[in-house]
Amino acid sequence: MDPKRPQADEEQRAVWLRAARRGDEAAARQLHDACYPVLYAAARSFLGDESDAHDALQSTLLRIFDRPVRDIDAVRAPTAWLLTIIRNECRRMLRSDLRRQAREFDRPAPAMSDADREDDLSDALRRHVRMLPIDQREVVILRHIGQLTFDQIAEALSENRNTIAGRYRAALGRLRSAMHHEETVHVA
Amino acid sequence: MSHEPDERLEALESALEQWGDAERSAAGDQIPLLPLDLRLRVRAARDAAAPVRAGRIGRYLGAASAMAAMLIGALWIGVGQPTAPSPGPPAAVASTDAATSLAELRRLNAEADDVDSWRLPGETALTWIARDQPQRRSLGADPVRGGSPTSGQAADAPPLPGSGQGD
Repeated sequence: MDPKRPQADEEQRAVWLRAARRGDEAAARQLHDACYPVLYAAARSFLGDESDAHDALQSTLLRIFDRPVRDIDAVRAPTAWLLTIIRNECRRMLRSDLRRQAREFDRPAPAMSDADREDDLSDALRRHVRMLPIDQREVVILRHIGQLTFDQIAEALSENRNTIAGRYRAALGRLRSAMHHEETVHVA
Repeated sequence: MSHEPDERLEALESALEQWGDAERSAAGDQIPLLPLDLRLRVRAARDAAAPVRAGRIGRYLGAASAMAAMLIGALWIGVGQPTAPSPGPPAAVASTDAATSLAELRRLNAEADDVDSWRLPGETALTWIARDQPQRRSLGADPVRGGSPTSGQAADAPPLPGSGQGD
């Protein structure tokens, strides 16, 4: 599937990224504003917490300056590159929090309670995506929030494309089951 | 019935796309200002880049000034070192300079033209040339004892300072 993000946008972001790394504050602001929605949404979906998502986003942008200029100059798809960094940052944050790790990793989807019932489909999906195992969750997030292709996700996660496609299919299966279960509970 | 799972998957994918759009849209509605930490880091990157540029310029200027110093030094050595005097006229002509006499010059030229007057009785051209060599050396330069025909420096004269002779 073709990426939905226009190539011109990516080229412009690459220009801002290079200028920001060299100390151009205006370029840094433009890059921040352009990438904030996708990065923040991805981080919030990874972590399930707005404050943690802000921290992850800030750490991700700061990591630009830890890289040598020549590495930054070699970046051709800045959004995919930043999504890879924020995914790693979220993983690090999840690992560093043992309680969160116990709560988030491989946790089965809980049964719906009345308080969890939401009319909005997006809210329900957000909740169910957060319940996915992290390997599947990150594929869904990078695919639908990051708007990356399977090839880009495979590159970002250093995995085989077929592995990524398999995880995506498994995630859809889990989501479908969860949504079906929720519908059943609703009807009952 | 066999198409039902595919349709449900397509509907789920469509719902996921809408979910992704809603997530990005919600985040885009509340873009904060550039965080202070990030602004400081950008400025640090700018400040870090500045000395590098200045250092490079300094190195270029240093190299240029070093080359200029070498050039000036070379020029100073070239000017300050005593240069060899112009070749000047041959010794015979030099003597006429001392006399400042046009008549003397004409007389010498006439003698030079009159080859026979230089020859001793019974001398052939070869023996005359052999006899004449020391005399020619005395007029010009002796390659063995120093000096050169073009330097105008007499063979017996002491070497000029810095000329490399007599070392």
